[in-house]
Amino acid sequence: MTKLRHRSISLAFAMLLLAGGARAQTAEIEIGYRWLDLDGSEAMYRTQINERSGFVLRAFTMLSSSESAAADRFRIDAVDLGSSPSGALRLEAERDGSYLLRIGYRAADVYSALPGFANPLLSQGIVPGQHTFDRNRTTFDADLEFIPGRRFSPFIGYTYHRSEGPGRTTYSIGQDEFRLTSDLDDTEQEIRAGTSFRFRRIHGQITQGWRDFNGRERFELDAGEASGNNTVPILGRDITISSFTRDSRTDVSAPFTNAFVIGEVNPRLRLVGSFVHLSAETDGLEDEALSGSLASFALGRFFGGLDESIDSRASNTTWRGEGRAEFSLRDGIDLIATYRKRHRELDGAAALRSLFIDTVTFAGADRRDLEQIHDARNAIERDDDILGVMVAARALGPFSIRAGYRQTMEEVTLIPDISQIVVAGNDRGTFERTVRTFDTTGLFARGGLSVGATLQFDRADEAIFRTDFTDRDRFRLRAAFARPRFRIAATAEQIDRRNDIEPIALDNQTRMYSGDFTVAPIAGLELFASASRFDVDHLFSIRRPQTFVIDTSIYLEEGTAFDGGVSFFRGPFLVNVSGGRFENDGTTPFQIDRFRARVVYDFRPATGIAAEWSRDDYAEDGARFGNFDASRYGLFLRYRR
Amino acid sequence: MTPKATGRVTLLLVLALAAPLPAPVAQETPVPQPPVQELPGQIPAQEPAPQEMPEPEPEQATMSCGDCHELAQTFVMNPHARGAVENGVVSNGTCETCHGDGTAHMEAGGDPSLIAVPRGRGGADGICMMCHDTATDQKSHRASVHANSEAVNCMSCHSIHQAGQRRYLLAENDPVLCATCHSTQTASFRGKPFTHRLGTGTMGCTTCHEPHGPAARRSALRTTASGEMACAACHQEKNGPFVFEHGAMAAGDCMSCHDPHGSTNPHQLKRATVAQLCLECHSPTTPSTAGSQPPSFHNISNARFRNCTTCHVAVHGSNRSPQLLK
Repeated sequence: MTKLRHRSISLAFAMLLLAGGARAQTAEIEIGYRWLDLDGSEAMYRTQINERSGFVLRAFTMLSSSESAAADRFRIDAVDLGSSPSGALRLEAERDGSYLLRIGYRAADVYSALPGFANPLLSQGIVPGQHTFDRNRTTFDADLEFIPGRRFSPFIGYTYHRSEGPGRTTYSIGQDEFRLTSDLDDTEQEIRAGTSFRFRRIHGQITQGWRDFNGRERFELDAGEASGNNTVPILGRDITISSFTRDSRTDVSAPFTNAFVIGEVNPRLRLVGSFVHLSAETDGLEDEALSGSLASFALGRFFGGLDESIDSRASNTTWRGEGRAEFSLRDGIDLIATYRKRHRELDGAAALRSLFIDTVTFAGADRRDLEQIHDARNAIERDDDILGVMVAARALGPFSIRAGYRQTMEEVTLIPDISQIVVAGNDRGTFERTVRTFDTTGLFARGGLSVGATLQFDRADEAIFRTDFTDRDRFRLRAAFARPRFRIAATAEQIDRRNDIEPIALDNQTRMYSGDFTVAPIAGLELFASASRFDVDHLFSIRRPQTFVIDTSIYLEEGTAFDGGVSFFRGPFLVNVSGGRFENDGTTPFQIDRFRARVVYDFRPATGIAAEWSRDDYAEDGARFGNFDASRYGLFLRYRR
Repeated sequence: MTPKATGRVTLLLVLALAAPLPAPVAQETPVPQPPVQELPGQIPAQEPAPQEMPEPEPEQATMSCGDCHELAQTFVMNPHARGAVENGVVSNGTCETCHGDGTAHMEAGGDPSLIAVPRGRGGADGICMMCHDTATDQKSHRASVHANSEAVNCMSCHSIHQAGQRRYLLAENDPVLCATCHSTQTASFRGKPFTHRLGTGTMGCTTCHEPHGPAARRSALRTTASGEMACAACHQEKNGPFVFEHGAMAAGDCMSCHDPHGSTNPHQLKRATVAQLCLECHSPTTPSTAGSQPPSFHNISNARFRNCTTCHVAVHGSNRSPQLLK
């Protein structure tokens, strides 16, 4: 059990003790133990699911009122703390008119070790790939509002976020790639303070915040990886690294201001204004030292080591202002007008000092150390102006309709560092694009039947980046019919993205369909079934880098999912059984079968036990390096009141 | 802490829960109920009809809603009853805030036609919006994509009479509730192998989406207190600012490469292989579009060069390498 899980359980325990003095009026807990039985690729199982053997606080909810002076309402919710891949705990305490306190804790295991993804060694049967991580992410939030509901309600907030743990990555140097171990420790803290305000017809909020990010990462050469990926000698010399260390430090300071104000001009007209300003600055320092036998075609030399230090600084200023008018023409008919402006600018500079040690020309002469100094600069600026108007008629009997028009004007200015340019061309300058969007949604509801349709058309005059569309159409249709004992629903969605500018020739179509059916033939029994289909047809021209010939990039998804299940409840018994299959026949064919069963028996009115079985069977076509079959068995004690 | 010690802590936890809950039980929760789904457009489940009106006794000056409606008893923990509970009972005035004057209803022996039951758009606009027609920079009940209509209204998602077991009186927990209408997105989360872990308490649909968000805002996405995309709330290390920012971030956002609703591809990427994803941008084919630097003439028929991120590891941006090599 990791430290993270210890902390989760301990925190839950502390919360419980804290709550002990309160008078609980509603409480629920489910706690127990889960066993994992895994066949196949543990790496893929942990990447996708990662439920492990151990104690789990599956659910905990307590609402209470108290007659103490401290709080007249108290609530704790906890979910999946312990051996689950992610869990959360929330606490709320309030004394009416005095304060409102919200505390949150979230923990997640972040794991990735993919056998076939970005793995240049897959054909040699070496799995998983060279990029893996096994990290923990924890977040703690606390917000305290004083005298809520008064004319001025000040508040303070604090967020602590940490991501830490080991990983593996690669480094390309000297005509080879070497696998490195990484030890990461990123922390981020944010402090917020501000006040809400309420006057007769005006209310709003202003927040001033400060966010600090501190990233630390140390890299070392992974054991047994001195030879790198490239086993072919370069100009007759084997490329190796005998020692490697890199220490990297990144500090980001980001003060921000966030404010909004709302004016109720009269009962029919409401004006909303908001403004956010963020000014972030990054300071980076990195030291790297390595020795070995390496080659550089840029230098035209072999070299025996590198001593590199990098001092970097980036600043990012972002602001967004928005104004919105909501005008009620009559009951249920609203006119909404919006104007939003976004601005973002980035300036980056890095001083890179590289000392190549013991360099020798390819001919074997002129042994010396060479120092390279690179003063790199990069700048990006982006502006967006968005103007929109919408009419919503919501009171047309069983009908309602919303129709809108938006115009987005984008302007991007790029000034890249000269070293980023491989082929000179349109790599710098100012690019503009205007997107016009027509959007309408219609809804109908009567007698248990509801139907909704959405159409959206986007038309752009230019593409700033080659992946930008010039035409995008979105369609969505949903229909549902519900009676007390059954419900049937179906949804169809389609998104078409095109860019006909030759020779970009982007043609992407995504279609999603789903249907579900639920029936409760007798009291206590419910059956459900659903089916879904995902289709992606994607054609896009690309240029093959080795030949510079234009070719077509094809990507297909043909996913089909079926799910079904039964829920039965009688007396002290509750049984839920469900199963499903997801099958993808597209570019990466695979199949997943999922099965869930849960039986609850309440041997006393408030107390019971629950037994669970979950099974996920993942099977890839082809290499099958990632296949797994994982069953989890759980036994839980329940208490409800 | 050893597993044995952890077990002891857990046992203590169970005992601690059981012990300090003596408590005035408003109503003993009997046996588990299968989840009830309230559907958009469906009239909210009516409370059970009054069984039989007790004859008013001469000395009984007033009647309470709770005399007939058990819901009035469980309502004491409902946020709407805050400040209106006396001796463990909700005052009639609390019920009458939404249901109107109940005197005639009571005097007629519980005649359901003599009590107002807010339903549909009219009920939601007329009753709920009396107090909840508020707006912030991120939400508005009038301009929202879910603004009250007959098909979708407050009662489609909120179950008003519950004892507050679910936060915000939701009829079901997120994401089960959202799945009622947004079934294709839910099917993607449920079926596809690489997804965010929805429904585990750390994440739900509302982590990224504001259900009351204005329709004009793309997918009603939330922003953080600092005005950044919801992704930054958890993935701050990918957010920079970087000296050498990846164009995909500068010109677009995380969704340029990732599909947050689940993917058949690792890391929730939009393409199955790294080279394909990268080459779709890094293919200079026309002088009219920006950037699109080619990948240095690498021979991507060779596995060593087909996996771009083997060398260009800092795909989210770098402070060290203009080519995002570290």
